[in-house]
Amino acid sequence: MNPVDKVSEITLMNTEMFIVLSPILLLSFGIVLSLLLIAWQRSQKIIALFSQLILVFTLLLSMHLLSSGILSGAGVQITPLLKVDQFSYLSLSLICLSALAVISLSKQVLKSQVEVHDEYYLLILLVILGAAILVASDHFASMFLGFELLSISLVGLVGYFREQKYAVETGFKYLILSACASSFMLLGIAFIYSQTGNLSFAINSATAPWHSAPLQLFNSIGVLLLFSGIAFKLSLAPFHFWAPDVYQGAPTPITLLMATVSKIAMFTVLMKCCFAQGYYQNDHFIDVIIAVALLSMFIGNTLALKQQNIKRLMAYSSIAHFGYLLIVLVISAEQSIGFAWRSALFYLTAYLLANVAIFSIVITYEQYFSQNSTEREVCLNDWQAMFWQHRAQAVLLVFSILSLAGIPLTMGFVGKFYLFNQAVISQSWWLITGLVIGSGIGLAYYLPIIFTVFKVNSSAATHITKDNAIKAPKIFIIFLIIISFYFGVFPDSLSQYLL
Amino acid sequence: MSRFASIEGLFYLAAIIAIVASLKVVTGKNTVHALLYLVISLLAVAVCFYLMGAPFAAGLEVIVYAGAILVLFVFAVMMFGLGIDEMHNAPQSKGLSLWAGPAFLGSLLLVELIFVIDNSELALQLNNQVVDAKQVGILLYGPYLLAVEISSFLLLAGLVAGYHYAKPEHRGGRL
Repeated sequence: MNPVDKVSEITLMNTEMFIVLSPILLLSFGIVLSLLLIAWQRSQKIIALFSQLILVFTLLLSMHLLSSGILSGAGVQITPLLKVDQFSYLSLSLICLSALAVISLSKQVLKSQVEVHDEYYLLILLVILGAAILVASDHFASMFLGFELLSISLVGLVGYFREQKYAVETGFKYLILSACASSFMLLGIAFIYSQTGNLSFAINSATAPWHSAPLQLFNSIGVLLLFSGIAFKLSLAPFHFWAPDVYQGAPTPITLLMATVSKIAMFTVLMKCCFAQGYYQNDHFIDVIIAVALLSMFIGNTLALKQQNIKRLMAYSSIAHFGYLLIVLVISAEQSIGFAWRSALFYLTAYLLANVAIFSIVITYEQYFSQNSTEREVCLNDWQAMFWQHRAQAVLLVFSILSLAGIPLTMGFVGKFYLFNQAVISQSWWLITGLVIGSGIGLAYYLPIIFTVFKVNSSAATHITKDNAIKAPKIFIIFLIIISFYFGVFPDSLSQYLL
Repeated sequence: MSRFASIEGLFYLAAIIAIVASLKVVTGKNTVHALLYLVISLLAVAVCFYLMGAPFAAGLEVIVYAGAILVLFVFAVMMFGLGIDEMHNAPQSKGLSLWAGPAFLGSLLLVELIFVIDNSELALQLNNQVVDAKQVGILLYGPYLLAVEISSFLLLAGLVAGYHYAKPEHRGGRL
């Protein structure tokens, strides 16, 4: 068809679309304003406050749109590129929450440096914009652009402290590997386009000609390449090699950003793409998903077993967690899509809260080390006897670890229960076996952390006494404890909100 | 002959040239020689675009990539002043062999292009399905407007990240 004819069919942006798109527009407007702000006055306090303000407003706006019911149903299509539904904005809210946590933790880290870090906050906002575009995308072009925006801004952040030991190495590793991932993805998109002739997610049906035998090969290869590109970002098993190194080398708030924002956004777009294109009807694709999920659960959990460095341990644990989460992609019928979204978002919320808690504690310890001019990474032994010195922090840590391990009365347990349910409905027994065994192995490295925290040992490697400890914001800690406990005991209060 | 001289055959020829030249780029030891092959690779891709009925994209490929980006590359190579490294990998002989390869591939592309333009039958076929600048513009500023905006943010991100890595190490205290 002549491209000019197509234009007349597609309505351009109208007022409703502007309203629905407003959180993303606000975010991008905020980026432009913060550029102006930097030109006017270079001050770390102002720019940090301003970024937080933008994120809070974006969060409120997306919450408001969620509750206003404008998004209910199939969602709103905004030009061929974006399609916003309630799941997009639920993910966006999660992303904004974790970005707020990242910025408030960054403020502590950046305090010890002399420069004014304007770029830092600008890049964080750009990461969030990339993530927001990803969660709203309905087209391979916008997905690719969002993916690139996310990765390129992250590259700038990962090696941000250039003078530190691993910074440049980490930045390069991430740059090259994410470029590889994007080229894989681009090739996959090209293969899919060669069969379908359309880049929109929504153009597909089970009876379409490209599902039939002679054309199926290229379509399958394309989907496989696309999935492997996304799996790179999610650090799923055969593509996980970058994760521990980059997690370790990046500044800790950025590690948190990678572990939460980038992964939540990528997983959301993966789900959108899979459900819209109907890949769950393709047996071969399901087989690949099951294989990758099992491999991630096994490899992630096993490699974490002997790990002493907390940041590397979190990297391995996130590999395993996203292995579990892949279960939601294996659904048997279109009716279970809603439940799959609910399970995924609940699980992601649990994962987000636990990660924010653990990384904020890691940052507190790192700050302590750098103040005492013994700059080093936080190991498991440093947490010895934490419970007897810092009650609140230790309780939060124990809660988060239990949640990651999936012990009852925590959010992690409820999330895993949803996943288990999902796997039972789709009758994928291998995945259930993997989930159970993986969680079993997981206990072998989660529980030692808790034992370490309670251990009474006077010859502990570090003594952080009450007076020289970094004061982590008490309110923040108590808030996190209450939230994770409340949602763990009353999961309904969250999950009914999710649908 | 007719099979080979079809648009499809010419397209595959250009594609093979692009692949060969790209392989030479990544296997070459000397940066400047690798860049020479890179130009050929980009030009071959431009010919591919032209044969697919997208002369506008082909023109952009030549102007933006083979023109501007390549100049940037050469500029960067000159700026780095690799010195010893560059000398180390410099070829011993100064004969024809250095530029014979790129020149051969380049002239192959030229012959192909002249053949297409000269052959009235092929030219007619190409004109049937041309996507010209106007259509591209209408699409970019119509339904794909948001993509243009997102790309501008992508460039901003690249700029800021690049600036951060490249700025001088010590600025000397608080600003």
